[in-house]
Amino acid sequence: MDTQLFLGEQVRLAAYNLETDAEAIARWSRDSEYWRLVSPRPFQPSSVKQARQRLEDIQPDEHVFAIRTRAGDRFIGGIGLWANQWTHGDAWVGIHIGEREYWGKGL
Amino acid sequence: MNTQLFRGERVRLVAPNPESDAESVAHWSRDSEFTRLFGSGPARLWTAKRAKEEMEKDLEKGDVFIFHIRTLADDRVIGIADLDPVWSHGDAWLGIGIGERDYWGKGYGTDAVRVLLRYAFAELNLFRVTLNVFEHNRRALRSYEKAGFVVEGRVREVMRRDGRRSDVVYMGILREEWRGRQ
Repeated sequence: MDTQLFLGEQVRLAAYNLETDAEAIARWSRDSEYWRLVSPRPFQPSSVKQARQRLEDIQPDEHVFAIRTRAGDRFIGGIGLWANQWTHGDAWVGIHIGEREYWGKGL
Repeated sequence: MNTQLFRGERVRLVAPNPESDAESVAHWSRDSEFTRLFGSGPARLWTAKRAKEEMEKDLEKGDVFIFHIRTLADDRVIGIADLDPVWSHGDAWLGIGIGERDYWGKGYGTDAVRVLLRYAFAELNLFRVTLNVFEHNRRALRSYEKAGFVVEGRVREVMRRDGRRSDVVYMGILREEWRGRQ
């Protein structure tokens, strides 16, 4: 039985790295095509500081992960499960690939 | 032109009053049939004190339009209603609950929904209004249809209560559909 729960074929799920990931998230937030695909809110870029703050604000009951490529260990996006309906056994999944060069390639 | 925006045929929408309404809200929370039709979270009991605190907290949310529903006939608080707009897309979420059982199935809720829709389209100038409802809540589904909502989709078997799974139904009404009914 495969017990490497966080390992996929091309990517792995990792904990966010506060030191290095905020910069990439802020850079993605300046890409309005990306933003408008990810969020219904009006386009508004965030600073590295804001991005870092959001990572720091992640609560223990938010099951969120950074997505990193297995080849090259590059931080390319994020994914999360929000199980805010425990009693009904449902969860929301959210995912985004911020690095454009990894779009449409099955990662 | 009727400019009494908050007045319907049987009910009117009023500002929530934590002093006078908390006891009613706590009373409704003790009716688990009501709370289970109203929300998907586990049924909880609220004291009047807690209800008052929550109401005061809600009143600070300036971006959500929260009302209580009072009967025109005897000015009794019978339920709550709110509109939560998503301004940039001209949409809003509608929520409503009639906590007083004596007023179920008699058109009070439908009247309140009609008043809310007029507020959404004539005052807030929204493009559409959205809601969701549990599929087993037939009374609510029927009421929303009477007010002009149509079924737009469903989240399959997303709820589990009393050992049975059930769908959540999404409904909506567009501005032109509302206008066509006036």
